[in-house]
Amino acid sequence: MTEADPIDPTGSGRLWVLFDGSPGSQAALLQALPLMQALGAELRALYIEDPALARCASLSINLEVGAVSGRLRARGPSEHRHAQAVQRQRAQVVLDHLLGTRALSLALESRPGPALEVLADLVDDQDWVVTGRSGYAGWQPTRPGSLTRSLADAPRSTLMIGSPSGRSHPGPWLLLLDDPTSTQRRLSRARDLLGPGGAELRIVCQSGSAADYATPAAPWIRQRIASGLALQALIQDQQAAGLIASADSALIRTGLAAGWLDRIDRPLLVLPEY
Amino acid sequence: MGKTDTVRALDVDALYRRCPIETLDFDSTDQLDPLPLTWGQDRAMRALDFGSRMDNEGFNLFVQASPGTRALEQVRAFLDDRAAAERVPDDWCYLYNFDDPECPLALSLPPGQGHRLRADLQFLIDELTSGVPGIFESEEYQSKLNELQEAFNAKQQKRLDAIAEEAKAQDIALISTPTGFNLAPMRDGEVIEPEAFEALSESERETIEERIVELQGKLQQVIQNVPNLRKAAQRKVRELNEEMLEFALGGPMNELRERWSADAGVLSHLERIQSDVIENAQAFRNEQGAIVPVELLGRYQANVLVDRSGETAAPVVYEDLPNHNHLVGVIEQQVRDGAMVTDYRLIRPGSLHRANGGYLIVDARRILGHSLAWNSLKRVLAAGEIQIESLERSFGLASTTMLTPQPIPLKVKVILLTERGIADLLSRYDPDFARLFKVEADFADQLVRVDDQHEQLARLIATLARRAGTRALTAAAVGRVIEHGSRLAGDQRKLTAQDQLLHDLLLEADHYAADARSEWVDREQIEQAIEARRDRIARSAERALERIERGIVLMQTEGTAIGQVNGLAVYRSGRAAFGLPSRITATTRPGRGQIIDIEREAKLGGAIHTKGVMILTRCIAQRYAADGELSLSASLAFEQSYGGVDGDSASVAEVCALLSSLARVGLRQNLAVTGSINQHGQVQAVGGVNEKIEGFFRVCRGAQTLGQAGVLIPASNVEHLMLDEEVRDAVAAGQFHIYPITSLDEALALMVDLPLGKLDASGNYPEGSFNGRVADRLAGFTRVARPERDKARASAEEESSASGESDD
Repeated sequence: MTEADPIDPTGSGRLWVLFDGSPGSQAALLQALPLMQALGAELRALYIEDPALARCASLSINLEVGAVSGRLRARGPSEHRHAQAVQRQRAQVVLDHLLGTRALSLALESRPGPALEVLADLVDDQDWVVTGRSGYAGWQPTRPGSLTRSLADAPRSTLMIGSPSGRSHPGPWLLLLDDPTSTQRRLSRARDLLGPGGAELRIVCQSGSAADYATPAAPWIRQRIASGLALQALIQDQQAAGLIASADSALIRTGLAAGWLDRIDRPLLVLPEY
Repeated sequence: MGKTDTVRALDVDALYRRCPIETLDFDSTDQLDPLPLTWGQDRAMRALDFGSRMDNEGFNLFVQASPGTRALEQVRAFLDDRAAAERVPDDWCYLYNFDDPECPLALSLPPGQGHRLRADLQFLIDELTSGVPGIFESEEYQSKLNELQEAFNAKQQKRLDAIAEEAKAQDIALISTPTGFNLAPMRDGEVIEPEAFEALSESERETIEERIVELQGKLQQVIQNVPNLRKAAQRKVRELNEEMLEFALGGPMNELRERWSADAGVLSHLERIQSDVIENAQAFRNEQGAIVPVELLGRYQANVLVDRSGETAAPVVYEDLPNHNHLVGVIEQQVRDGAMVTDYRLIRPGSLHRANGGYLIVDARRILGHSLAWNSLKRVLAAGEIQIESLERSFGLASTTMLTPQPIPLKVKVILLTERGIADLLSRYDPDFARLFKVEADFADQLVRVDDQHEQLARLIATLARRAGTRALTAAAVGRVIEHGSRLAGDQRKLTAQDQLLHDLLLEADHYAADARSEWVDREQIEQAIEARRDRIARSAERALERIERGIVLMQTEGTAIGQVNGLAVYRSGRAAFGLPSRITATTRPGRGQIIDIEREAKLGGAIHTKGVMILTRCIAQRYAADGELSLSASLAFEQSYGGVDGDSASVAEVCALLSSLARVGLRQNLAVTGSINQHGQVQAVGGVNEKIEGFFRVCRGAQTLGQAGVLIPASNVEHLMLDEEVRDAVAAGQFHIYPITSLDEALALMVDLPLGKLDASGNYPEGSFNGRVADRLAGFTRVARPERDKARASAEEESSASGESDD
């Protein structure tokens, strides 16, 4: 990476990509790159060391169950430190590899502490947090992990949940509005997010509601979305690049809880509540 | 004792048998119908007919023919005719053996269907490479596959979540890392500090530890069960693949099944292909642009070994290069990824495959010239099936895996073209030959020439001319060709059957006709071709004549000489055969009945010549010492002969020389003699009589001693005379004479200017006669040798009386 160019921001705000080298974090980074260019934002790769693991390793009774072998093995403080160092190093190598193909370089920032607290200290309103789908744990790589779900429940800044594959799709972004309040403000915020001259934005209003939406200054679609399949069909029909929704959107809360997002290979932008 | 009357020289008409062109009822051969080239070869044709119809094992044919008889062409024409009425045999192909890939399957199909099967299987492969990946890319398949994968993942996740919930309910955190799972006690939703944990009472710690151990056990169970779940998931994916493939293959496969419904072998193979495709469904999914492996698709092809498309008769195959591979076939190899590999598609047919169900013609000299080919042919014929085995494996040199293709049943009639010498050797030294080649077809070297068949002979010449693509021949030209054919046969009653010679003659004559801008080939061009051919090979003969004319080789063609006679011999040099006189000399002295053959003593004489000398010895003894002893010691020599002598055609001349020496009477040197003699003094036929006469004629002409010159030949050779025109002209002009002799007396009567003399009642020859002089000389020898013989006789009588036997 020494010969690559460091990332030089031109605009305001920062993109905090939670990166641990897992496939989900790699996909998130790949989707953050075009966003970074569109916004002119600063890209930061953040590696968070969970103190719970360190505490866990210090417990006298601690044993680790192998993720594949199922075997019990010791994981004391020294094994934990070594494992952390290796994982951090590996994450940097993966990061170098991903960015190196684009002639870019970025140093992985490592921070200890509970993830939410670390992010609360680092991230401000103008920043973005970019997370991937499931990390190393679990068998459902398309499902957003527990940290992502926690962030989506109450985002303090814009949150982007990357798609499983990390591929970027051309096409319009769909702004999901499932209540008529603050329509213009959300639309404006969404436009800001996509940047000047950014992608086309289409508004999707949840049908079946008696609410009267203020006429938005954008193409809008009235459609009932009551399942993951309906959401998937909508994205296919519109050939959408991704979804944008408010954190207080009932649709998104239901979708995250019911796993609607699992089947959708598109990024989701979650706007903080206003 | 022979007659002593002087023999009359032959009339010129006896020296050559003209073709009666006045009886040929045509102007040119255009007007003649063709005649099969097999005309005159009735015996061989009967044998071919018999052998080709005998289906029993071992009734293959061997054809004996001299080179130049164009037996191959005649056999082929016969077999083509026979095969035209026989059914076209099956196609054969090799297919991949799904049970044992090293043993490809042989499959027979109705004629012309192999080509169709190959095309059909290629169609199937095209479907597999284009249509099947499309099925796997379809929304339906992808959705179903995702459902299966998600179900598998969800099942795992659900179990993991359940443990996590259970742990949480017990204030235990489930923390995952890239390498595994950790369980730790919690307090207020956070993992407990180690110090706080240690501060707990022992019972509390034990309780927590027990819970954690229990959860770890459950976690282990979940993880250890993953392979089983994955296997079940894979089975479901496989079932999905099969379901999709059955659908994808259903259309083309059913179409093929319908097309090949009458062929159980093909149907069975199609079933195996379908099973194999399903087993290897993963390879057809074409993920991320991957192409289907060639090796996999290669299994579904058909290697059509024998394709009878368009054929209307049983095959007649001539193998021009009958080595092992060309006969039995070969399994080729390819370099793939740096290694030599092979598969059923690289099996190549041999001529036995192509001829299966028909006829295979092989030249014996050629097949015997190729290592192992003869043994391979015999092995296949004996086994009744074609088993392709590479030479590398036969010699244990195969360094890679070799195939053992399923043998193909063989039903073929092999015709082995042999020369007589080769057939004799095979009969004598190869017991398999008699067992496998039971029918002999013997092509005659000569055709019969009788007057009432000249029309047929003319048609035969016309046929040859047409096949050679020459201009038509006039009747005179045909007549000359027939006469030349008799000359080549060396017999007035025969015509050479060596079509190749006549074929070449016609081509050469046609060349001269073209030079002369003639529309026809006339007698003149035939003569020109014969003369030109003679001229091309005349160098050796001219050199030999030159040596005689310059006196380097001593030859006397006038006057008389005692104990010296002009014998005649035929010399061969390359394609040339010419006759020349050879001086034979004899010396005599008293002895014990021995005649020394100097040629034999010098190891220059052959066995037949030695036999001839022995016979003439007994002949002389019989004539002049029938009741007594032959007290003679003599020697015979071919003067200035350095290349060896064989044959007995000089035995008459040798007797004449010996008797001349004994009688001290000179022999006429303007006569040459040829003929063999038996113990009774009868003269017997010899070979090469035309060349010998012409040779002596040219010597005499060169020495300008024509006039009374001539040649004594056996009377039984007269019908072999087809002499050159120049000799005939000389005979007609009284410048040269040919005497047919039947006995030694007739020869002597011509050779000496002295009465021979006949035995009187008392058993004596008249005094002063030739025979009388011989008898007197021998009596003188006896007197000289008697004291020695008396001693020997007395000793012999004593021994005889002791044993009770008598001596003659």
